[in-house]
Amino acid sequence: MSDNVKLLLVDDDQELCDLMGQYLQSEGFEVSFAHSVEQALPLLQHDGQYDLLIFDIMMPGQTGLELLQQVRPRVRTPVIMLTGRGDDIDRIIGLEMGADDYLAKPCNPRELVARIRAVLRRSVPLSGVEDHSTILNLHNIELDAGKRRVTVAGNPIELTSAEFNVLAELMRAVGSIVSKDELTEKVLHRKLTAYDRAIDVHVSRVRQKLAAAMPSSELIKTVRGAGYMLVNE
Amino acid sequence: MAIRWYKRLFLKIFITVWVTSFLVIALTAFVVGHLSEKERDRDVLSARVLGQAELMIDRYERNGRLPAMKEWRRSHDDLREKRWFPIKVQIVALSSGKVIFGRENIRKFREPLTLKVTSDSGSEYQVVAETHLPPNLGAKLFGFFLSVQVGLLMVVAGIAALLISLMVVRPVNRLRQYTCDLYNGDLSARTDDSLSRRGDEIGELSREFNQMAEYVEQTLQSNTHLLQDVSHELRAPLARLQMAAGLAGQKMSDTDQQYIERINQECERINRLIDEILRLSRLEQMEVSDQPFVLNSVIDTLVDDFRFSASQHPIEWHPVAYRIKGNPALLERALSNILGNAVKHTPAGTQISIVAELTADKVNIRITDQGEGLSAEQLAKMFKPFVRFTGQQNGYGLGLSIAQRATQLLGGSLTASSPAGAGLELLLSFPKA
Repeated sequence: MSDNVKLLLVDDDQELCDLMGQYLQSEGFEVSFAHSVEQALPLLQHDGQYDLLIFDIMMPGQTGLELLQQVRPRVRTPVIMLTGRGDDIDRIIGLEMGADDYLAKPCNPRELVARIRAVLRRSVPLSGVEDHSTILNLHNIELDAGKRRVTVAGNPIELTSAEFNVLAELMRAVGSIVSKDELTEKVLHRKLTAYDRAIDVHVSRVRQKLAAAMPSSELIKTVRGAGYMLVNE
Repeated sequence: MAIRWYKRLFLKIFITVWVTSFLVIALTAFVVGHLSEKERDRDVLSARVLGQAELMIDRYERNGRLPAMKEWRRSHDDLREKRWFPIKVQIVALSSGKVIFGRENIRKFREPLTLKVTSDSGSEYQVVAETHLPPNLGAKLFGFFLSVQVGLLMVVAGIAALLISLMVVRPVNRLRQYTCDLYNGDLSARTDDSLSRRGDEIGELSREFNQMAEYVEQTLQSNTHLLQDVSHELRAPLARLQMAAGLAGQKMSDTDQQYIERINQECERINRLIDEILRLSRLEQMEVSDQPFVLNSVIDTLVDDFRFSASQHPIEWHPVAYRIKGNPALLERALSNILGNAVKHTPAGTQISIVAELTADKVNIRITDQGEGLSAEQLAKMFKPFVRFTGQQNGYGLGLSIAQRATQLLGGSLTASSPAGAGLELLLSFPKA
């Protein structure tokens, strides 16, 4: 990981931004701020300016969810949403709109750093080592782990990095059940916690995108109480 | 709460109106009938007295002597209706003033009838007869009540009573429905125009209900908003506090990190309290729905979560497809708090069982743990907010209040029991969808 990871923090609470900035800087990140959606949008004109974006959902005027909607899918930079605690709906909507993870605010700053690192780890294109370099082929789906590209019957489909990892894990384990624990650890690089619906949302997004590309086939099965499984050909 | 059938307003009004109107009409009919019958009897009687007197006078003039009373009587032996035969009669020749028939004192005659008779010879006589007939009311009443008209009267009175009861009870029942809606969380419940535009007391009551509902809605909403605003405003400083603690932690030695840990723990506790308060106030704002949903759609996921997060407790649950109505999020909230409570207060390794059963009109969900249970005194106040029992350091005593409120918002009830020797049993009971 590069030493100079650039973060953009969008939060209306300036004092909190100040403190958070100091904390993240001493953890080795380079932090920029925006205090409203209007301020954030010009900073996000070009994809790739930042390594990670952190959006607070509850902001006066336009919310973080609206910001996310405006920058996705143009900006592919990973996004962590800061949600109000207990706002399950906000979390799920955030993930469905293409956020990579969420964190309830207020939070322990160490937890925030852990999440940032986990998201960064999985978004860095995996180097062509061991089985990650393989091209997986199944049900007309071609998944190129090296280029992080997925095509269905030759047509490329857009997946977020989390969705890509979900599909990759399920394709590698085709025909056998992958538990939610395992999937969360491998895809989100963190432990599954109680009431954690993040992985379910990612799986359901992959399902929707596959179904849109090739209707009339249900490839990913839910196994109650166990996990998910990609069916054999 | 169901009203017992015999206590229903409808029945009370119906019976009262029916019985009184029937009695009033029947009595009036009977008295009027009796009077007119008496009038008719008098007419018949006077015609007979007249005929008889003429006969007597005729004999008197021809024979020149007074006819004996027994002759009067005998001449009537053939009369079929003896009771119409007046016993007491006096005939006086007006020309001479001589009593030619009957010796009785006419002053003692009851309801005397006085007639003037002119005989063929041209002499005038005065006839006085007693027209009082022996009363026979008992038999008459009996006959009257067995007659067809009484049957008709009962039917007519019944229809009138039915109409009056419906006129009163139907709008009251509709008003009750609105009251129920309000209680069940539909704070926007207001009576419809046909009720509130009425000019009578029910209209007045409806308008007063609407005012009350308005007041309740505004009060609850402003309370909820205040609570939410306060809680939300508390979170911003809390977030800064945690961040500042983190910064302090970065600059402190490893041995001092425990203080930072402690600050974080306390922040986390305040956070949880704010969470619970917000949850309670959000319940009231949850979308009201009357769509049915299947129990296992909610419980399966919840049980999965608990099997994961509380793996030290085996959870028994057999999925069922019973349906209840409402917002599934409310059931999830109720059950998750109850299960969370059971997990927290029972020893590791003990089983928690969830059993759903279907009765004629209810869906019951029973959650039983194998802990120590609670005393009757504790059971009585366990659903009150902020009630905690000794030995409970964690939590704020809001969990079960939230569960109960969520159950009520689903139109159900939550009750607790603690059978001797067993743990705590919580029973959620919902109307079947």
